[in-house]
Amino acid sequence: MGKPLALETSGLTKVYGHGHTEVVALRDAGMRARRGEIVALLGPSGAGKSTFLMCVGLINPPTRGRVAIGGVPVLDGSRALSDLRRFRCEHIGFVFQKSNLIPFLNAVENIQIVGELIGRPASLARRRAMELLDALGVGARAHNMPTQLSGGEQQRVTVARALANQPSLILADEPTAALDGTRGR
Amino acid sequence: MNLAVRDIRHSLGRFVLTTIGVGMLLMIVMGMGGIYRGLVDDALVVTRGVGADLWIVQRDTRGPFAEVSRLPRSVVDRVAAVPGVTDAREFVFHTIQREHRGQPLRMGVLGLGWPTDKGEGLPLIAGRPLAQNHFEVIADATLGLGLGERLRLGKETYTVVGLTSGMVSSGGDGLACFTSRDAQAIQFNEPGESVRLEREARRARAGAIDFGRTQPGVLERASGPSRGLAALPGPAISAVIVRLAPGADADAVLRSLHGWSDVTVYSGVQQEDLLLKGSVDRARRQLLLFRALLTLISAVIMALIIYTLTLDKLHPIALLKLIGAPNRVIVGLIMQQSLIMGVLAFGVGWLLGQRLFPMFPRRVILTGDDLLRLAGIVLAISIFASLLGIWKAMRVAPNEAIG
Repeated sequence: MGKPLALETSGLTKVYGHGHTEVVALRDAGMRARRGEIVALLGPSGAGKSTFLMCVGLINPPTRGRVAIGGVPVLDGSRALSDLRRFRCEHIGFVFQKSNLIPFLNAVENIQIVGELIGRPASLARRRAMELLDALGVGARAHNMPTQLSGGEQQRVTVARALANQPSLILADEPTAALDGTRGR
Repeated sequence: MNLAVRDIRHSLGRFVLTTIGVGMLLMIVMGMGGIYRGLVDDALVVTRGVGADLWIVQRDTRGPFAEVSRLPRSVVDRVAAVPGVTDAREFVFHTIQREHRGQPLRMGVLGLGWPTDKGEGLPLIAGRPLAQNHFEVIADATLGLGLGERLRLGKETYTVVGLTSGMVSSGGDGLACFTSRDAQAIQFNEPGESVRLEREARRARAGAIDFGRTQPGVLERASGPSRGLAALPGPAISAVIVRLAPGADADAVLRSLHGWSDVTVYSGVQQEDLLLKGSVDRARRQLLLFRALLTLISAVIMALIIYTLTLDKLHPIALLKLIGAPNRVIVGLIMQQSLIMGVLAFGVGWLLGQRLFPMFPRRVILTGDDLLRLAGIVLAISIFASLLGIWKAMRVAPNEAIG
């Protein structure tokens, strides 16, 4: 018996448009990933990698299919968990190619907000945020605004944000594009 | 963590400028309300200052403010004799515009019933009441005259012996208080040449009739001043103001006066009503309409500002949704910003108003009730203004954060 499943999908299909403008971006995609595994999706441009991430990340729900995260069935055909957004906040971390930081919050606040959204006290959320920033080598830049950080520093802050709530699943879409070789690894 | 405050801090310059702009708009709204109240108050300054229980005016007129009224002076003595009347005084009021120091000077001329009334009850801020029957004046500070300054009106020169504050006519002109004789002399001033022509004409008319030819004394009197001719009355007064004795039967006094065929009687309340429905009514309605329009415009402008501020934040809003922020966090962000802007703008408007309103040519009166009411309206406007932004924010999808 292996480690428990962190992610399980089956029959994931995403269709955009109708009739003669219909585009099938994803057809019957399925996968399983266990806790602790790192899974890389490789494919040519337009293969549906980002679409798959959007479906699994509950950002853009699929047309059909089943998704279970941490053993919890989140999407099953037309049925979905009642509060997808909260589930996303608690269980999924995102890192995208372009760092997406909230421009009016500084580095530590961009991470702290994630903790506060799930009800963690501000002091606890801040402490966790500082720990992550220190671990990623940007602790000294905690009080800088995103525009004051380099591209690499911004991406590290994004990674720290993704880890803030100790999610079951981290989804990363070309996350190391802005990082140097060492940091990327 | 308060997202609204952080967003404001991040775009502080823009927020401050926008708030000042909205504040100035609210200042105008406040000012309109204050001008309206000032207009009403100015209209009632004289009537309230006089404190008359009854106003007796020329028959079938709505004088002495809404309409011209002329009464012979003898009415004062007749009214004083009515049981229940403790005080009856002549009231002279008219508006003039003359040249003084090369500039037009417009003022309301109020005649005080010398020697009973020397102006002791006026709100003096400098100088003293009248001390003689002629050639002295108490002027309101808005007229820009100084103590001791001499004012040429008609054939006479008057010295400013006292200054008041807040004494204006219903038209907003500063009041100048003379004795009633001087007020009448100013009102009925005629050039010397016209007086001489009238005397010659009078003499010619007297000489053309048998009575004038056989009575030389009549001819002599015809050439003299008109007060020498008993048949010719003195200058008219505008009204008679009446104070009733404590405990007097007001209805009985009214019944008695209503029976006179040459006068009309108004109570103090009726006189105020005539003023408000007469000379100031249109100005009042105009100001009210402007105030309503400005309030509506403020609401629309605030809504557009908050909507624009929200448009600038669509990407962060999508990002907040992406990382799992519930709708209430986003609604709170937008509504709090709108409320903060509303509250601060109200404060800016009030502060600016305190500096600028005293410089307005007419009084701007802001009461606590008016300010509270406007604060409530600003609160409602702030909430309403945020709805448009919230509607836009709710339509943003989380995936818009990643393009």
